[in-house]
Amino acid sequence: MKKIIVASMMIASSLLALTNLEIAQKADKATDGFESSISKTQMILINANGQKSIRDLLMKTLEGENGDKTISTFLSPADVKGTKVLGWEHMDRDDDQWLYLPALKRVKRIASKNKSGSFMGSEFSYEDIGNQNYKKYTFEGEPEIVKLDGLECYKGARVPKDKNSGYTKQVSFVDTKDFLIRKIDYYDRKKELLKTATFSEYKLIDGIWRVGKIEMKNHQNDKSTILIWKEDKIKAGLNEKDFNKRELKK
Amino acid sequence: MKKLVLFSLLPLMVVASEIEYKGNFGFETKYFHHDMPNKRDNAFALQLEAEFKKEFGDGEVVVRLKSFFDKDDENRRYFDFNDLYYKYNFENSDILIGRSTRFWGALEFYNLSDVFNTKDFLDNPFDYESKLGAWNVAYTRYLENSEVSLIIKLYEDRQPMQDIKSVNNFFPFPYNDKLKRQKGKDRPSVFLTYSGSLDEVQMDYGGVYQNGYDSSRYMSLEGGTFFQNAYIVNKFIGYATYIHGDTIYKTELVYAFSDDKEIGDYGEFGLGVEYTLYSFWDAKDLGFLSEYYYNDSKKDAKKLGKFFGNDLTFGFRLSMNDQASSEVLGGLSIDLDNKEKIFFVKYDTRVLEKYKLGLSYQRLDPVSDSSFKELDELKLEFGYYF
Repeated sequence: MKKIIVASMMIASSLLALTNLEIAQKADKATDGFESSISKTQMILINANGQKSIRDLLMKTLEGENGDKTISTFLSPADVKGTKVLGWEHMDRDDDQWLYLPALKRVKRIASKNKSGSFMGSEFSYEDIGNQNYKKYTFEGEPEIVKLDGLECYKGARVPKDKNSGYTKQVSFVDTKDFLIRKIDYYDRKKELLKTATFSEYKLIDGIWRVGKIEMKNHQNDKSTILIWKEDKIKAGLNEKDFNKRELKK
Repeated sequence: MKKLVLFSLLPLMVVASEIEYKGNFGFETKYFHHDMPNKRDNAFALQLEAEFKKEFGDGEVVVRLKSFFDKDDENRRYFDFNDLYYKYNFENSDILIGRSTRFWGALEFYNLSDVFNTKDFLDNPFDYESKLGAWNVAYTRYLENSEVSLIIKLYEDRQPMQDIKSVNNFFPFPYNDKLKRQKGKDRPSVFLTYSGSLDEVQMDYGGVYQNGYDSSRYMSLEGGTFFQNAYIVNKFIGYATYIHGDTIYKTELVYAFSDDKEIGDYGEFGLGVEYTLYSFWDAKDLGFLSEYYYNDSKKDAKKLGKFFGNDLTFGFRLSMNDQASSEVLGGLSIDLDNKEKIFFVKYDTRVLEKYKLGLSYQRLDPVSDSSFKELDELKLEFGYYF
């Protein structure tokens, strides 16, 4: 009996011994290492009256030391089919972003400083869609262990380093077993709860955890957006050349 | 006849093989308020735009067609291929053969640099994004952060206009679209282009050298009929976009050498700035734009088919960021020489996922000796997208 108590205390102390930063590093590690990916995603926009609108996207991502590169192609609605967004993320300066408008065959460099703008009219902002690398945040306080839908999670606060972030604070819930993010509460510039993202349907592909569904609920306007990964291929063999401006015109 | 056969075969080709396609089918209806005698005060047209793409290994065939059927204006009853080309992609380069459209430039309302294609005046003549495809052969080499192209445009095409009863035909005499060319129809135009992006600074840039027919033309009156005249230029073009914070700075510069006595050498430049207030009201974004264009040609810029010669433009873009991607775009352009003004406002929204609705108002407020006349235009567009 003593052994069980001691063992339980050791587990509890080892869980609590982790700082918020270490939990965030482990959470990143659980989903890092995919090298490159090709995903077909569906975005379901739900307004306050429950009316739905659907967007389909083909997303290619290249994992990088100093930020990911992504190219997103709109597959639907039909009027924006073929529109593409190319993004090069940087840790030390504003990201590079280009928009391709197929009707005009025009590649436009677009401003990326403001991260809080809506992505495709959804409840996701550009900041939510981008890489969530732990280096982008400072971490506050000590983690708590809480129950979330029956799962034991670390609850911890993080503050975006980017002064142009739309958030003053994010509270994350990270599974104590596999270090997967299960929920994030986002607090706006007035420090009021703005949105909650719920992460689910994780799949283990080639030893890398990949999220299958994110539901973003906006508490202030009652709108929500569900992002579903319909197809997801990792270690897809993509390289730098697949993320240059030539790819926008293809 | 060839166009008709190809047009008829397209649906069969789509069914027969895996061809990517997209496009829209719909109508536009316009009401005009004016005091011009013998001009219509309304217009209605059906329109179809469709793009088909088929890949064959590293190669691809692209067909993009555009068709109009105006109930009154026979000049606006046509179909044409803006794109009809084969492109072969090598590891770091590609070759394109066929008819295509291209875009060069940085500004929003009007692009001095966008000289490859002839503008489509059968559409709204103030909409500079509406173009006619051009037959060309092009080789493009892609470098790490830049690209260089050699393009040979095979010949200079004519520019059809709306009929004499249309308010968008500004000529006081009939217009014949038979193009008069300084060096004949078979003189090709050669373009050498280079464009790229800087690494550490958010800046894109481009340059074009052109030897061949200028995209601008001047009019001549012969036997009571207007004709367009195309002349040869050696033209140097530069354009750039620079982003600092939330502000976008844009410029386009042009200098042309011409031995045509009507034209001579001329220069043009444009400057623009754009600033957006993101999430200024709920999720809505509000962008402000201002652009200035200058032209120092011997002929008045308007006589070269350019409505912007010494003009200042202000505009705004309100993006609702809603499920329907609704947007309001508006602008006012003022000719600083004579205070002539063009004002427009346009609303676009998506309806039931597959349809788009557009409503626009445009006002032309000319001076008394202008070739333009006072004109208000109200337009409704509706289309099904596939």
